[in-house]
Amino acid sequence: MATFLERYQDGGRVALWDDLVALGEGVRHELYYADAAAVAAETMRRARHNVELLIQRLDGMGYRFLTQEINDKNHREALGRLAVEEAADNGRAMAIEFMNNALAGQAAPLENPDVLDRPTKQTARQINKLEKWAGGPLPLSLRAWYEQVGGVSLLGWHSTLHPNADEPAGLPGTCPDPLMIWLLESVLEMVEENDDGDEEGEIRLGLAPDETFKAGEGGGGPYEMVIPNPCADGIFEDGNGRTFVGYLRNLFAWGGFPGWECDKNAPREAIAKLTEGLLPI
Amino acid sequence: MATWNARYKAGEYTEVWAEMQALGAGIRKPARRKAADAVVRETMKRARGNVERLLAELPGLGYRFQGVPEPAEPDYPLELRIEHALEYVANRGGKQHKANPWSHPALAWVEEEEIEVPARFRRGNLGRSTHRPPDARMSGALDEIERQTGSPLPLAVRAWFETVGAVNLAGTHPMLNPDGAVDTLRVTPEGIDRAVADGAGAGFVSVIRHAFAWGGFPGWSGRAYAPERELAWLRSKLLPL
Repeated sequence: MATFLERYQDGGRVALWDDLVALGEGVRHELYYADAAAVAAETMRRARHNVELLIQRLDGMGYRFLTQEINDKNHREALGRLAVEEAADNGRAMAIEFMNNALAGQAAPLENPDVLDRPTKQTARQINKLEKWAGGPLPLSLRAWYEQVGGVSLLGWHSTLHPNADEPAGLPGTCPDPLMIWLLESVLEMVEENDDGDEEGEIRLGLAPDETFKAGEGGGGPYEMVIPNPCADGIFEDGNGRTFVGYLRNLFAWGGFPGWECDKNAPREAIAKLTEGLLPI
Repeated sequence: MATWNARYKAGEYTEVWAEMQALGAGIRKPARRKAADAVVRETMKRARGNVERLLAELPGLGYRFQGVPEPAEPDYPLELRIEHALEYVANRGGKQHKANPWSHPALAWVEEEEIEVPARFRRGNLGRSTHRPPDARMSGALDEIERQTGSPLPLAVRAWFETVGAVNLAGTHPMLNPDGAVDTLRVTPEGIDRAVADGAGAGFVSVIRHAFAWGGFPGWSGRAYAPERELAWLRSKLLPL
């Protein structure tokens, strides 16, 4: 009988993750835990490979990676231009000029911790702290993400993939929802800020801003996962009812911009270039 | 010459049961009955231990016993009745019922009316459709079967229900029982084969022995791709019988 990891590596990835989730807390049984944790680690090792490849490809396509602050400012500028009805083709030029100034001297995306903040030797301690605070474990998937990938932000600007509201492709309401998972340190800070000492039972762990927030339009609550959760995976609450691994799987199918899934004007050619050769998870 | 029970304990499980079975109804003659009862008791003691281990270990593996589906809407009259009785036992039931209020006479109706207690009251305990320990009601049902058939049940069958109770391991698990399609250990009074002749009950023992040899999942017998890891682990917890 094949191990979970062998089944995963042999290609039965979706069914295997379904089985791991169906085990519920049983996944922590001595018969399964090490094997299941190995699958989670392998899944997120592949996710890291994909994330790094996407960052490289986006960089090659002229994608401007922006911090949340610059992203918000960029969107405010664009909305300001819309308000005074400046020509759309001017908007793009003005956005590029704004970003060239804002991003001067910025490190290459793969070396930029605002884009990809990889795990460090502090990570295990931070995870343990979070689990202690929650009174129980993180799902294997989320733990493995922070052990293998870390904080990621594909927030930024691109004329077709993530255009501003005053550009032809960026009609107001477009929310490409780029991949963003807050780094563990930020998650912990938020947890500590919100800790009033009365927390009991399940806790909603904010992991990323929602799609409208990423689009510079304010936004609702963050994307969350409920912890503690001793299972293999948990629901990533972005409104689609998928588990975290399911969310990532769909996200990679959309080149890191899953918000295009519901938009008939999705830039399919650019997305196809991004997704080519990504490792299935 | 060693007794049946001594030989049984030494590992001659099938041989001893075959010898007892060969005596047919003669197993009940006083000269044999005492020796046979010792083997029956020992066998069922092991069976009970095995069932208890399976019931304890399977949830840890993530096994979900089938049970009776919870209603979409709570049955409030039932829940209020249970709550009222539990409250009464908590306040007036005395120390002896603190740990297990269900044994108090104020809750006897739950068993008498064969109520499947909603999960929230069971606090993780199994429902009656999975395991019903032996009780007077079950003994009465066996008496009734014997009266109807005009013949005593085989020794092993009667002893199972008086020692182990009713057991049904039906459920789901991604490896052990995908979609609940694998036959599991299931021994209930309703399933008694009334055509089985009186005697020791070696056939019945053989069936449960087979079920335990498959960790409680005899449906894997003869099937390809059995979940060996889980079955081996379960088998390692069980006593031979």
